[in-house]
Amino acid sequence: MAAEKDTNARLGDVIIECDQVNKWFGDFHVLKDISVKVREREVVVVIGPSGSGKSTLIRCINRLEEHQEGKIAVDGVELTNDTKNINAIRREVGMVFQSFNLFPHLTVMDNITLAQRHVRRRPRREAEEVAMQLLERVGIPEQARKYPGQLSGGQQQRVAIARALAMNPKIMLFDEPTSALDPEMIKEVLDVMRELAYSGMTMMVVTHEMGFAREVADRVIFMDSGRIVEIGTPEHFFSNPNHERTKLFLSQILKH
Amino acid sequence: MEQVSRDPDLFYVAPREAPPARRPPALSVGVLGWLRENLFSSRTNSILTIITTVFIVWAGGSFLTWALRDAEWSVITTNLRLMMVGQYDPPQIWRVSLVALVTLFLCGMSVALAVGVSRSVLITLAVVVIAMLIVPVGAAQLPPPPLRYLVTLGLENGPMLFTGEAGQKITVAIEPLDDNTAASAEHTGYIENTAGLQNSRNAWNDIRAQVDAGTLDLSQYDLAFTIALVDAQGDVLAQANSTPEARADSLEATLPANGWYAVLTTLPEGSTAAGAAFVRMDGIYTFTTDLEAVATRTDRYGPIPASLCPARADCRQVAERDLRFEGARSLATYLGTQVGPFLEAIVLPVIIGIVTALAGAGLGVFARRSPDLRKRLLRWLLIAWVVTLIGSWFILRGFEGSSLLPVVPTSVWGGLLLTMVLTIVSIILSFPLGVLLALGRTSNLPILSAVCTIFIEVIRGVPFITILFFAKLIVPFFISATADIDQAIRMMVGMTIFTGAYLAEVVRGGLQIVPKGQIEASKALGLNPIQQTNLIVLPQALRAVIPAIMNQFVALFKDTSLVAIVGLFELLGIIDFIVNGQQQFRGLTREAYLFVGIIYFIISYAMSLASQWVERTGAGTANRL
Ligand SMILES: Nc1ncnc2c1ncn2[C@@H]1O[C@H](COP(=O)(O)OP(=O)(O)OP(=O)(O)O)[C@@H](O)[C@H]1O
Ligand SMILES: [Mg+2]
Repeated sequence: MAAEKDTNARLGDVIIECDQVNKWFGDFHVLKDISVKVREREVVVVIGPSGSGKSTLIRCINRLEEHQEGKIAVDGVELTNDTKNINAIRREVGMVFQSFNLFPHLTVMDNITLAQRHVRRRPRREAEEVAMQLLERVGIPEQARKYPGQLSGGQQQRVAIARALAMNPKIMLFDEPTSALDPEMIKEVLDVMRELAYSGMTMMVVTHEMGFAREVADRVIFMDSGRIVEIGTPEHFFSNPNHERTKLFLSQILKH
Repeated sequence: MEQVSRDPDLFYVAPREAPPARRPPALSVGVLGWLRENLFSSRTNSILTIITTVFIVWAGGSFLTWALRDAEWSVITTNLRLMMVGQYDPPQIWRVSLVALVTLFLCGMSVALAVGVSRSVLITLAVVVIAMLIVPVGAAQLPPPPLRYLVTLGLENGPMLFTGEAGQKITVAIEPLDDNTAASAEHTGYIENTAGLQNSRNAWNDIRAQVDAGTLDLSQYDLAFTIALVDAQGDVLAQANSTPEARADSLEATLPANGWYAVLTTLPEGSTAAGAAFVRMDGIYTFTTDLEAVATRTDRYGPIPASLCPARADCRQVAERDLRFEGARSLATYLGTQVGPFLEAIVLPVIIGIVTALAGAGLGVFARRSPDLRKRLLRWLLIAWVVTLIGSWFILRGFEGSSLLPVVPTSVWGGLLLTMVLTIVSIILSFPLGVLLALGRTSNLPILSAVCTIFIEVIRGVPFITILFFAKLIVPFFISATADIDQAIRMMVGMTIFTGAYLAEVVRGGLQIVPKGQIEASKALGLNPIQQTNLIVLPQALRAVIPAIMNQFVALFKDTSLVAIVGLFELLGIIDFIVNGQQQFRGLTREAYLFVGIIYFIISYAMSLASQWVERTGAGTANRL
């Protein structure tokens, strides 16, 4: 397994670059001097206690949140207030949310084709073909004509992944994709994510699924109170953490 | 494996095979069981059931007695055209019919495409059509009720005109009122009630009042007069007399041809004799006087003969307009005299309407068979609706100098036509206005938001009638080029901004319930702000508030009656005009208002059904998540 992952040759150039990023919500300093680089085809898992700023960090990467200091560049494009840049980056970055955020008024098929048609300007037929392929990839082609409300949580999250993939993103961001799911459904979503990782997608994943992190991640980022405490390979991180805070955190979550 | 005997109350292992699923136990235990369970389950429930039933029977019974026996529905039959189109130029009414038919066609197609047409709907329509055809025919077979006019001094005694068919048997009898008890006797049948100060009904009421007061003694009967049945040329066919000695004479005749006839009453010249007598005519059919009925009557019987009626205004006729039914009537009489003529007046337009709607529905049902055809028809339908809605305005309104479509100014539009035009135009315009105001009010741009907020709050803070006055006075200033803008257009402007302001608040409520995650997801997919609003936020927000929106539209529909302030007569206004403005319909307010009430209800209910349908459609499941 280690051989499979840790090949520098497998990873490409730097595609996400955060340099001294700072962000405040009002007076609350939520991100403190965040610097991290993610390379093409790399899978980075972000963990940390609740409120440590994990969601905020990855939401800054596709500009759902604005950072106030520092620099974030995605695929060589720096994130500024320029809407053109923002749109360019959002087209390259797919995102999957904890609460799925599917569009409840559209069928599964329309959920997946909507952005393809209106943002990528694909003709309907082509968009539907792409959608069907993706639904097969996530294992629920038979649900295409249903509405999100008619699906189980795991199925909804897989549709959400298909919806993001339909835009052919170079990067996928996951914000606790399995936290709202029952154990049986967690597995079906993680399977899809694992397959995606092995297919070479660049991924940044916020998750509490340590098994997934251990198995799939190239690197693990540990955050606490808005700063990055430790970055390392999963082997190193889980068996031999350096920082006291990391040790404390791991001892707490591994107790279960 | 070691066998441990366990306490079966604490431990359990299910058998390997799951038991097969069973049907739920039957709930209903017959009619009695249902009654016991639902209506008489407890003492309170039983008491409530009994009280409610008694009330329903009492209220419903008295209402039905009134509606089926005492009500005088001729006010509806006679004024149908006024109620439908107001004073719209009669020769131009085909334009209204055309618009109505095209609309019905499209409605039928839309319903068929959207939900299909169930067999029960078809059966209902068939039953309605057949009933409408049968009842008038059956009613025509019934002998017409007797028809009376009063002969006494000081009362206009002109000829009483009627139409008859060859071979029709009629009887005219004199019923002297020569006995004080005769005054209080019930006379069942029509009594002449021509508009004007003195007519038989008024005179008879006077006589009864005087007898009751003891100032008149009917037994002093000195009256002597002749009645004669004459044809259109004035030739006498039969004759009868009344003298103080032989009072109750009568005549019988079989009419020789189709045409006009009259009963002439002649009092001896200079007679001062006292007394009163009814002339009772049997076997004569009354007629209505709306334009179409007059046209078909003239075709069949010729014009009103000048020899019988030198000054047309003086002629008394057996027109429903000029008669009033007195006394208790049987259901058969009711059907014959009330329902029959009404159905006869509406049966043709209604059947044409139903057939047209069914034709549209048929196309829709046919297209549903293939998804491709359905899609194409849907697109066509959308265009057709837009064209129809815009085109209708021009067809109804007409063009300056056009001979085919001369201008019919909106000031003469009225009745249901005006109500519908005002409602539909205001709905179409106020909806986008409301949405834009709501988006404006919730936008991040401070000035836009402030302007929208102020607009909404000001409009909502002012009574509707004030807005209409304002629209009446102010609109011309904004469009100075044509200083005299249709009053109807001004009213539409007023109604649009009023409804728009209310809708804006409703829509804003809808916008607030769309979760933030929806916008984040659409941003993350790269949709621009306009696409986010149009494709994600608005569809969900609007669907969530469909009932409230429809509420607003129904209110708008009913509030159209306020346009009376600029002298426009929509459905309610025209009723007011009929029952209060035309003397012979005085006192028929209940009938008239009940009729418009039914029309208002049918349309409001249709609107509510439509909204329920939109809520139910697959896409309307916005709140499932
Ligand atoms: N829009 C906001 N306005 C103000 N404070 C916010 C906002 N969003 C997040 N915060 C605060 O910022 C901090 C970091 O939030 P964030 O959601 O990034 O944490 P997290 O690491 O994702 O936590 P969790 O594991 O609970 O999701 C929290 O203390 C939170 O209360
Ligand atoms: Mg979070």
